[in-house]
Order: sequence, then C-alpha cells, then structure tokens
Amino acid sequence: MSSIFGVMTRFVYVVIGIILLSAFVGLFTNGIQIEFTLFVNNVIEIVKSLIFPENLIVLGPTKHEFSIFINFWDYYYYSLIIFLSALIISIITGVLITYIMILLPQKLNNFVSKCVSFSESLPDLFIIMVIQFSVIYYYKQTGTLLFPVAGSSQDNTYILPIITLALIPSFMIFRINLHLFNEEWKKSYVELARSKGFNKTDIFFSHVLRNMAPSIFSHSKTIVLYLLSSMVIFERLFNIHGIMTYMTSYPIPNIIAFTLIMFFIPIFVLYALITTLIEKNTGQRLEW
Amino acid sequence: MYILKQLFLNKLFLTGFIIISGLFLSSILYFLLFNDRIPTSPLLYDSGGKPLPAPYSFETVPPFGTDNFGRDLSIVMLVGTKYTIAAALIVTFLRVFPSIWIGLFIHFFLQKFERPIKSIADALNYFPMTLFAFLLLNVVLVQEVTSFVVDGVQVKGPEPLSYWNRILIYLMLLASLFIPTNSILIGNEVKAIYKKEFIEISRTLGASNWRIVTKHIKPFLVPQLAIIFLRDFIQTLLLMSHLAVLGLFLGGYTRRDDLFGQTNMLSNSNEWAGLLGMWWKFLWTSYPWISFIPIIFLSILILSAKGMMEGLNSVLMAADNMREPAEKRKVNEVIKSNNPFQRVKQIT
Repeated sequence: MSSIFGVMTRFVYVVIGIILLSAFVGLFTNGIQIEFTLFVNNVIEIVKSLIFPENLIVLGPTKHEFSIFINFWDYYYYSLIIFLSALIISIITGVLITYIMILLPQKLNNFVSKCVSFSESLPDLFIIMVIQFSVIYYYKQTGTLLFPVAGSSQDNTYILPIITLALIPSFMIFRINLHLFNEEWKKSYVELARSKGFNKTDIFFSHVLRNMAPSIFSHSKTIVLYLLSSMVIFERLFNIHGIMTYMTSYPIPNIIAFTLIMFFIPIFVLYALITTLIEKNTGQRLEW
Repeated sequence: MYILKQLFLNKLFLTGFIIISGLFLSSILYFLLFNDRIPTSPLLYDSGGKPLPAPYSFETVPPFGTDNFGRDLSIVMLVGTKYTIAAALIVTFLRVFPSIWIGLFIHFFLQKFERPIKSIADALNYFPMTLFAFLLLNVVLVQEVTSFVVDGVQVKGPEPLSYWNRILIYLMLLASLFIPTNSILIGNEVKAIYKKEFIEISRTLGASNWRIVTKHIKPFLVPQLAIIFLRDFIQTLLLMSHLAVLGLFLGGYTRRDDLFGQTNMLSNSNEWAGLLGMWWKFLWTSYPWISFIPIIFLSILILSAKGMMEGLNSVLMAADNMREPAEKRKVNEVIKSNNPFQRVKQIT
C-alpha cells in the first residue's frame, strides 16, 4: 500500500514539475517576457485546461480554432508505439548481448566491453546518419528499399526508427548488465551451482538474471530519459508525425503540459506495476 | 599533483587531451595567421570546357571538397573548431561552477527542504531537454521578422535581437537548463563526503563550515567535479547538435547566393553543430560525404572527451586504492614434510 502511495506522490511531483516548466515556456512564446503575473496566469490556464480538456484549442492555418482531439490520438499512439517498442527491444537486446558476452573467453570479453563503452557515447545523430545512409546506399545499388527511410502523412514508418532508437540504449543496458553480472558471478551460490555441474546458460537465465532484474529495472530510468530526449530528434529526421512534432508546431503551454502528462501516464503505470511486482516477489523496495 | 602527473602518463587521457587541444590550438593559430579567411574555389570546368556543378568532391579539391558556395570544407571546419569547443567549454563552465555553490548551499542551509527540492528537480528530467531548449530558444533566436495575417490585419512577429545578445542568451539558456540537476548531483556528492569520520571530528574540534568546505571537502570534491565537467562537456555538445538539427544554432545564419545564384542558408560562425544541421540535407543528394564531415568531427571530439573521462576514472581508482592500505593477504601455512599425508595437530 505504501508503495502505491509513494508512486502517486511521485506522479504528482512530476505533474507539478511539468506544469511549472510548461508555464515557463509560455513566457517565451512572444519574445522574452519575464513577468511573474504572466507565469501565474499560465499555471492557472494549464490547470484549467487539464481539468476541462475541451479548453485545449489550437489555431489552424486559416486562424480557425479547433479542438486538438481531432487528430491528437493518432500522433499520440504513433509516438507511444515507437517509444515503448524501442524501450522493450533495447532491454531484450541488452540482456542477450550480455548472455553472448558471458560465453566468450575473458580476454575478448574485456576488449568488447571497452569498445561498447565507447560506442555508447557516440552521438545518436551519427548512428541515425549511418543507418539512413546505408539504407539509401543499398537502395541505390540494388533497387530494393529495405525499410522506408522517412515517413509521410499517409503511411507511417516503424521498423527503422525503432531499431535506430533502440541501438544506443541497448549498449547502455549491456554495460550496466556486465557490471552487475561481474558482481553477481563472484557470489558463492554461483560457485555452488557451477561445482554441481550446471552450465553457464542455466545459471545465467535461472539464477543470475533473476537476481539482476531489480537493478536493471532501477537503472532503466536513465534509458527512459535518454529515449525521451532522443525522440525529438528522431521525429524530425525520420519525418515522423508524432507528439514531439505536434508540440513543436503548437508551442502553447497548456497543450505542451497536456501532451507530456498524457505521454507519462503509460510509463508511470508500467513502472508502478513492475515495482509492485518486484516488491511482492523479491521483497526489494526499488527507488526510481 | 601526483594525480595530475599520473593523468598525463595515462594513454587514454593523453590521447583525448592532445586531440582536443590540438584541434583548438590549430584553429586559433589559423585565426591569428590568416584571420579566418576561407578560400573559395572558382567555378571549375571539365576538360570539355563545361562548368562543373558546385559541391566539388574531395577528389577535385582535397581533402574534403567544397560546399555549394565553393568554399573549401577543410578550412570551414578548421575555422568552426574554436567556436564549437569554446562554446561548449563556456556552457559547461556556467553549468558546473554555479552548481557547486548551489549544491553546497542546499546541503548546509536547506537541509529540511532537501526532499521536495530533489523531487521537483527530478521531475525536470521528465521534460525532454532538447524539446525544452528548443521551445525556449525558438522565439529568442528568430532572425527575420515574420508577419502573418490575423483577422485581415497584418501582424508582425517579435523583433529579432541583436547578434551578440542572441549568442549570449543561447549560451546562458543551455547552461541554466542543467543547473538544477547538477546542483542536486553535487549536493549528493558533498553529502557523501560529509559523512566521513574525520569531518565529524573536525566539527567537534570547532571547525566552521567554511573551513570544512575548503580544507576537507575540496580535495575530495575536485576530482568528482572534473568527471562531472567532462560528462557535461559531452552532454553540451550533444545538445548543441540536437538543437542544430532542429534549426537553431550558435550565431544564426545569413542568406547568400551560391555559385548558381540560388539563395541558401550559411552559418555565421561555421560552428560544427550548425554545419551539421545545415548540411544534413546533403545526405539525400549525390554528395552525401558533405553531411558526414561535421558529424565525424563531432564524434571525434566527443570520443576524445570520453577518453579523457575514462582515463581520469582509472587514475582516480588507482589513487584510491593506494590511499587505503590493502589488507594483508592471509597466507595458508604450508606444512613441509616428506610424507604425503600428515596429521596437522597432535591430539593430546
């Protein structure tokens, strides 16, 4: 029960933070006006439109007002699908790479983990560029387009952005995993299991991974934050019409606040569920 | 001093340091010697006398070719180096230095409010930083007065600010966005150091806060700050390149006609992130190498900073191990005797 309360207070804090920041953005929409009254007005405006969503109105190209709900959900689900699948894929690939590394001999292991630690800090733009370029190059050489490189308003592209978005986070998870694994592997129960003749695969998947899971989960918050700030760039470069594009084209404080809060609700639900599950099964309280 | 000496013996740190300072110094040297003059190649003709289209490849104009204005790209990159590194350094400094004081202040005077402050600062994390910076700067960095029609009346957009003001605001905003999280981070570091035993003792002997900070916390905090500084340097470069892709960059742009009279945007400072944003579109044309040049240079810069960070980390770890005396290993006594088996202890 207390954990649910903790999650709720956390949610409230994040909502407050988002509202304050969105109100702050409102100070910059018509030149710089650092005025406290305007800030307070913005906050009130945002809270009002969060309670009554019909206040969320944008101006169309012909200066005609219409509610955002005409096409908001399309943008929303599109972004959410890309975000969540990138998160899940990166965690799975991170764990799989760790498993493969464990089977390799120690010397190679050290070398590869050093390489990964460097490639993790490569700018995401570099990776996007290389991937986009190689797909185009392949198309030029053979005439078959492996994946659509950029989306358009009619058909959405999924595969390439998801893969590209998941690439760097999976390296991050791999590095965290390797660190956790090295600590876990020294423990005596592993030694016991090995002396009984279990092979590495069995031990890794049935014992070590289970013990590592809570720590991986609590580290995954950095991954979520990384994905969030990368999404903005991805939507621009892959021409995805998602919520980040939506927010940049309608930079009105209440719409920004509403969109971001809506985007965080699924993440929060997911995290709250997993934390309670882990607490029930292992008795560990997790901070995230 | 010892750590510094060890640092320059560390291969990773040294390579990173040499690359960054080499790039920076050569760029400054070029400024002093040639005053940032960028050589432009004139319209070139092939053997039949037909004019060749403007972005010349790296085969015609070594080493990197030219852009569609006929400017030599290697020199453009060299000129931009100092602005890139200097901007990133200034932003990083503005980010870290005030955070030290705020972090100390939170730790010493605002302990009661620590939890709520931390939670709110944590909430800032959930607002994508690139988006936040973009929304704030989008209007500030506007260069041309936009006009649009509302109810049949021509309305002018906000007036553009002067050149130096724009640069100043760009730097200040990028710095201030990260001050809250950095202050919390440094506050946590201070807290961890404050728990050590010798500080307790020093306090019972009557040391003031100031003395504790300068004499006891500083030696432990400075190496951590160096790591934070390098990490922020990388983050700043990433953020700058992200913003550039969204069309906002340091110094803005001017519109100029290229060799064929088409109007194109031209970065004022030739700073790398801006070049990256401007040249991304070349990826879709038949001269994709142009867009690869700035991103490769940026990656090199980021990787060298990363190398410095890794080197610093390993040196600090080694120094830590030296400071704490290693536990004496227990050596099992070996019983020397000729017999393969022997009773160890005589039972009486």
